[in-house]
Amino acid sequence: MRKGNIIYGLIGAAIFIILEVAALTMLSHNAQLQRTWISSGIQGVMGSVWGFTQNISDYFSLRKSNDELAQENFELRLKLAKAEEALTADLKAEIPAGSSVGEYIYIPATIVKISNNTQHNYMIVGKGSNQGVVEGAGVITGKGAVGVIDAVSENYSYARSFKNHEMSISARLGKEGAVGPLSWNGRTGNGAILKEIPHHVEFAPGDTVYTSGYSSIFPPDIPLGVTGASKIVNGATYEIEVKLFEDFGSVRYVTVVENKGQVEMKRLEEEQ
Amino acid sequence: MKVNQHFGILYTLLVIAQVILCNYAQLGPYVMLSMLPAMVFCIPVSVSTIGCMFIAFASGLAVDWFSEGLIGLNTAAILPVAALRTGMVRVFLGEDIISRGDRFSFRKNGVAKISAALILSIAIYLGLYVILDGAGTRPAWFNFTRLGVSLVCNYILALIVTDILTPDERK
Repeated sequence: MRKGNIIYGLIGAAIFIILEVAALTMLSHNAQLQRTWISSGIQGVMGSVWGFTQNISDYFSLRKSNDELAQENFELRLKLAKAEEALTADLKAEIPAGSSVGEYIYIPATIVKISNNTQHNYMIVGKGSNQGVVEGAGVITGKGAVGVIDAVSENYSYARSFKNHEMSISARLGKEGAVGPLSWNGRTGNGAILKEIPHHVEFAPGDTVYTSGYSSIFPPDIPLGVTGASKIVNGATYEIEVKLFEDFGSVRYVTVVENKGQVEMKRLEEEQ
Repeated sequence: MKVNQHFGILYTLLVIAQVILCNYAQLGPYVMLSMLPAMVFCIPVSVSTIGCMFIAFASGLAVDWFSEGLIGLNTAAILPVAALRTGMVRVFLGEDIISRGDRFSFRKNGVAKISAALILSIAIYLGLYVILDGAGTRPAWFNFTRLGVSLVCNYILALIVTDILTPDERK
């Protein structure tokens, strides 16, 4: 009897939720004001839920993250030591402090939500306008460029993932090689295609692909992946398969990078 | 059975009256008249909570559809009243009514107890209605004033509706 009551109560609750959702859906379809209000309410709740579940997931993956960070720290310290050794005393004094380096501002952030299973993937970054994130900024990790910020709220940002058909990055074959657009192949988790590489350019499978620095979004020389098989298209250019370094399934910690000259460059382009 | 048939006819007529009220009785921004909470509260306790929710959904939708308001507004506001009706009857009027599937009336249960249950029903309905209608754009003082004024007006209306839907057996 008691079990029957519990089941009846659960069915009642489910029917109530279904009918209430149906009523609110009708309301939001019939009034712009209510639609906006209900949508923002739902987004707020979903953001909190994602944040909460992400916190739990982060807690249980702390050990792995620590190992990765320790390894990254080690590599960075090694690079820093080598760079310091090569610098003269005068140059050392000119290095600026803070998170701004050259033309770029770097903001560390975490991924709150990421979509990986559609053709138009996106990610929600846990930093927003309050922390200095702006639209058009890039999202990078130590293993590559992962997205571009499309919209910014106070504490969160919406970024178009590199795994999105509308996204391409200006990439360079090797540090001094030819430049072409790199975009997701749309099929595999870490596959991309580098296009428009002139057919006279020499390269071999396994060569590293870097960001070119020719876009106003990403800094140059960020390693993206390694080249694989290639084919000549229209008898003029190569299409090269690239295996990305970044594993989009486990990316958590990112850096939002903003080009300080981006607005000025865009204005100049529009004037021409 | 005869009582239930009468209830159905009266309930349908009150839904039509509510549509007319919504379309022609505009009493300003602070007053919003609705018989729906009292009507839903007066649905016989022999009707299950799930059945009550479906009746409330249908009547709310009918009122929304045929009146000049927003479709879904009355429906969304009245559903929690239907969901909580059995609980309110249990708390304010006692467990006996539910276990016997009995009907309640002012004469049998007293005006005070039924009034308390009606006020809670109306407050739940109006609270949701005012919040959803305002959609975060109106100041809190406006919402509270609207809620308070409408609560008083609707309570008087609810007493009449309850008297119609739950007549004393002696009458």
